[in-house]
Amino acid sequence: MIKKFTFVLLTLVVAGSVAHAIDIKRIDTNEGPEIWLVEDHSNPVVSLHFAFQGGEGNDPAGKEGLANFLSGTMDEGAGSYDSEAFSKILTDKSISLSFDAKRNNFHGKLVTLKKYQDEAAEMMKLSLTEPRFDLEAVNRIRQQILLSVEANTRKTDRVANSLLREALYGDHPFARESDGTIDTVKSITPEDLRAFQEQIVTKDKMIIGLSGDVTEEEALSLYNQIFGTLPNHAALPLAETVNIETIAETISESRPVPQTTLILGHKGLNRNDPDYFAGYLVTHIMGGGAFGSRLYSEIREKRGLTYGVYSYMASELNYEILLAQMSTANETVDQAIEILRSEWQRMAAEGPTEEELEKAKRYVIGSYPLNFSTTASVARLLVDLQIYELGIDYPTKRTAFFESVTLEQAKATAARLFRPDELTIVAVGGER
Amino acid sequence: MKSRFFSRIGLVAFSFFLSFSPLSSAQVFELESFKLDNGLEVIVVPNNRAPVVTQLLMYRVGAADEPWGKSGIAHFFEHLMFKATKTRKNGEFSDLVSEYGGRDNAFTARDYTGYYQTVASDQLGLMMELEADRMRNLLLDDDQIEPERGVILEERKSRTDNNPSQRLMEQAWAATFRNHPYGIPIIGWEHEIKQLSKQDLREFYDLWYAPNNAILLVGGDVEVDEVRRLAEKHYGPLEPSPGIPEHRTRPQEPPQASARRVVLADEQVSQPYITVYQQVPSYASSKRQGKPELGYALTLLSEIISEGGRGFLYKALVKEKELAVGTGSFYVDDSYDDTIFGFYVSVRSGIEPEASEEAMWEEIEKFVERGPTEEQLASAKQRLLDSVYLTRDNILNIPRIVGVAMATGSTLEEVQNWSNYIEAVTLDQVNEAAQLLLNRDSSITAVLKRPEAAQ
Repeated sequence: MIKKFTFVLLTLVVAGSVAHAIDIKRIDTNEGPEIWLVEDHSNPVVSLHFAFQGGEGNDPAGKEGLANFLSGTMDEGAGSYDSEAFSKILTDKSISLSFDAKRNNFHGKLVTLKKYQDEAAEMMKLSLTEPRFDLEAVNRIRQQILLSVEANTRKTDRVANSLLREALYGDHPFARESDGTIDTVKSITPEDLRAFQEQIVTKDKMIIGLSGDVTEEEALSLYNQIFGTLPNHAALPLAETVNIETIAETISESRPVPQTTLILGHKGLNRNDPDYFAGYLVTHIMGGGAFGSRLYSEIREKRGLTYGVYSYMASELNYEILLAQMSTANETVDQAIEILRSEWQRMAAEGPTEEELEKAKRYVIGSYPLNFSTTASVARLLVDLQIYELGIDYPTKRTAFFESVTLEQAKATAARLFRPDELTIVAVGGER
Repeated sequence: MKSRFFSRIGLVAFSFFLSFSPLSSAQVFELESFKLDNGLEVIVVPNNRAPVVTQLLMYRVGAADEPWGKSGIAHFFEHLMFKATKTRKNGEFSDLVSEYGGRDNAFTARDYTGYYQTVASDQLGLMMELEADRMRNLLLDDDQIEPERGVILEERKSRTDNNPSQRLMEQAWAATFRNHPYGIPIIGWEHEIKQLSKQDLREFYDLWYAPNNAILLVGGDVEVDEVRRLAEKHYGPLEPSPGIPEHRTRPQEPPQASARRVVLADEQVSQPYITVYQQVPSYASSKRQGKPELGYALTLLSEIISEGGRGFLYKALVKEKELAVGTGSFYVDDSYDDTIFGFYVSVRSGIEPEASEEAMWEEIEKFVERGPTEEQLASAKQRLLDSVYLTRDNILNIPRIVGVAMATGSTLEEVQNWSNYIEAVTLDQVNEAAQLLLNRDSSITAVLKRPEAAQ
């Protein structure tokens, strides 16, 4: 009883800390986008993270990899600065400026010392509004992308992932290689990049998170400096929702390596599903990052068959999937699959125990603040809160969402979420 | 994410592409330190940005301290320390940490092994109790050792055997250090991991895992007096180990008389590259050799060569001659003994690796001959000084940076004044450091490529 009391107390302290550490201000720009701001004046660093709607899911057919290519070239020279001059300024001022294409969004990131804030803002503005796409830079980045596309065909985990995607996503764009193929990457021209950049960069549906040594007034002037002159045409549409296939196959692909990567999965839970939080907890119990998960204990701790095994739910705006991944010596693949299947069955049939559920809640709630140890991670959180429409008070309400999951709900959710008969299993590795 | 997946940090800290420490050991950390009667050094880094605290216990023992022929012991403990003690069950440590929403993990390097937890501030006492317990009270029974041996062999497969680049790096270190134990891989050689006995593990543990061989770092939302009270209570009663040497004295390398070359051709290779290593002093060993400024000069030299990935090697090899897709340099400064400085080129497809190798050498030689300019030096210094604030942006970084520096022979004063030492380096000192790169006879070249037929 005493122990329980300590837990509750601790939860409050930690939850309180989130509210304290993440005091989010919402600043209206009066032209659509809002700035969500967390001030932190303890260190002279400013982090900006923003996202446009539209990403890899919007790559035109035949130009797969365009969004990824764009993310690699928008910081390769802009305005009067060619690639070399541009990168020299970033290096000299220790400014980190980059773009990142995801399935549904195109992200921009800027981290700078306070004293270089103006230069950083100017460089970001130029990359958004006047990227050059000089042929030299485009071809150089193309070389890098081709190498990585080629490298991915040799990485067992990448190959396994794409085989699973192809199996489950059918002909949806998300089944494609997000970095493109050798042929599509070769076919992309500077004109393609410019046309896509003009479609993606717009104030419509733009999302902004800002954190660090910056005040509300400065936030607005930063906004005007960087985004003030952006166009405001309609954003690219979200890709339609993936209809996840139920095929329950086992797919094997041979590679000359001593260890096999295993990935298995099936349909998961939507983020708006009333049982989402229950599903998150049971997935954590099954194979969350914590040392004590069922898969960790059965496969690593008791039998020493793997270095790492984990499960997770990927619940995006337009697809939801439940996955588990591990690697093991080729000779023990069959044994590992058998254990994974039987754990899937056990979770579906029995659900978690009361003790497991309580432990998972404490971990998932208590560890939340540890995610926000940098200003960049806080800025990223502010963007995610907006993309998933979680609300500005989500960091404080999140605790209650998890606390309120009952054992009955967790068991019912486990039965619904874990479907041993629908598992598609991909094994990429050597002969077994 | 926690999990010992990420204990890779320990291994990677010694690989290239990662400029982990030189950028980081920074001044302006507000530190307090004291020592317990049993020899445990304690360093407190208060920071009240969030109500969390990180405890990091660093042991001054790593893979280079293993008995010859018994590689892998130091790293084995990174796993075994989560097993049962006289009063705690297998896995109870991590269970308790995660029960309170905390995270814990561990890392192993050639000169040190570290264990850390990040938890809500009011759990610091419990974390110290657990950490102190496993410092002296591990059971080390067969039923804990054997499954973990399997896990470690899988870890070796994941990291090394499945990865040609890692396999080559293992060979390159072995070729660089043929007398000094830095040539042994941190995770250990497979055949030796298989043979380690309970007795081997027991002897290593009893000798090295002791308060007089450890540094306790506590960072976050804490008061120094409270840390002192808790440390006295939990660590104070532990007995020191009588066998800890005053200085770790390992066999040293003789001068290298001829160039060495390791080549790995593998189907799994996508990106061929060539890395050239030279053995150079670390921060700690340059101090012992009476040239304390040399370590800082090497840090600046690497910063000048790389220049954010766009330095002179990049301009010549990537942009002008189109031989490469990337180049750079690295300096592994956080070593107790002499370490490596390297420069590398990632070869463009269709180019013979050897052609880019010769071009790289020519650029290095031209650079050393003309020497860096005052402007290049000033700009490199500015970047390093600025990096202190960017490093501080991650509140969890600081105990680790201080801990690694201390465990590899730096003093607290040196860590705190790092920026001043960097600023004091002269152009002559950088030029002197650059001379260390020139001798091809003392170099080690690692070549990663595709098999002939597949190219």
